[in-house]
Amino acid sequence: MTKDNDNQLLAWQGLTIPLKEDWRPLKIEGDHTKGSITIGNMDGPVFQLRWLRPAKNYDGVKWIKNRCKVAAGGQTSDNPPRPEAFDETEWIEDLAIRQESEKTVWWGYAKTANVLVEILLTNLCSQEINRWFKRHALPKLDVIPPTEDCVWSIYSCRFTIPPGYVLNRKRLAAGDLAFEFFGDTGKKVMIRQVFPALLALQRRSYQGWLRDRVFKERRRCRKERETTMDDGLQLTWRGQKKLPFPFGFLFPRQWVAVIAHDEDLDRLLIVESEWKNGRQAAPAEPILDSMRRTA
Amino acid sequence: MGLFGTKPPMLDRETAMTGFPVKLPAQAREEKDGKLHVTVKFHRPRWQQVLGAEKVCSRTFALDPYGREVYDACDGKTNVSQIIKRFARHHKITIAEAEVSVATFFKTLIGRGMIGIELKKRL
Repeated sequence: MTKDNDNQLLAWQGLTIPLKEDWRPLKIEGDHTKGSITIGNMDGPVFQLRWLRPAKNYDGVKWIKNRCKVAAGGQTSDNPPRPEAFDETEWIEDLAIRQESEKTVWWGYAKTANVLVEILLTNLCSQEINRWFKRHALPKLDVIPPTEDCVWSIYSCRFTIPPGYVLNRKRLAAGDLAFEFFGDTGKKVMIRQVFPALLALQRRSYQGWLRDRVFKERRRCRKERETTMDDGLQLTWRGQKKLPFPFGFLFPRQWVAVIAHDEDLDRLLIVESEWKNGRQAAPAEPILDSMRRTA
Repeated sequence: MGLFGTKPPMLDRETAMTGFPVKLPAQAREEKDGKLHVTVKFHRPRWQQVLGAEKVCSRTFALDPYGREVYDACDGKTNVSQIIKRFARHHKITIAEAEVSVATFFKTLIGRGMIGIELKKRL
């Protein structure tokens, strides 16, 4: 999540929403098709954002009506916030779910991006925070269409990834954030941000960080070429990824790994990409540039 | 009173965040190789004393620039929450990230007897 006038931007699975400075993700579940993210502050959970990408020709309007019916017998509150990307929205303010527990529920359907969104505002925080969320955060909820470059922004890591890549694995450790994306026809991209770079480079060299594997893989990396750029602040390895002996000749992959030290942000930025021989290369350097520009 | 002594009182989040960290008296402080070396009195654990070690010894801990920044901020006037916010702003990271790093570091410093936290709220 990167800062924007004392607020941060959360961008996850093609959905973006501004958050207050001290809000943070508490729980992340699911994948690109269906999932949820719970955001909270120091006191507890503030809201939960759920998404669902149904099959084509799904009637999202009917889904919203059905949800309203299940929640409050079809009764809804007036003037639901309508972010630009959404064609249909409804909400129920202060819906009594259990005794002494009232929540605000918002539903939205973005037809072009084919996403159904449900937001559950816990109402556990102060009135002021709830009001800020309803008036400022919710109207700025946005959906990135699947045909456009997708922004990802969580904690202090932000990058842009080309369309068609889906998050496969992630590791959100303090100071070490890593994401693995799968694209079509065997493309794979791994993005990693390590903070603080100064201490990270005392522990391991650039080569050491490129050799360090965050996620387990069957293929072994074989470096063929090394290039240094930017006065030694950026290192690129090119080579192949092969299955262990004796299966090395089977399905080898082309592989590029780039590591850069962003001195302004004091971060180590690492991007690795692999693709099948003879296919279009998966990008590494444009993603690294996007991390640098916006982190 | 339990079998192994009294249980320490629970510290809630709000109390911890509004506490004022303060440096405890150090035997020596010196700069070496870009690091701050702080020597403090260290009370050995009881099992070491039983084996014949001295009750108190001195230990030196080296602080890197990040550790030093946090240690220097422990002036008894700035509370934990303010130190976290300042650290986040200075290093362009989120408050959540800064909170994890700084809180863990405070725990280490307290364990080593380098700082104490003055609590506003009584436990």
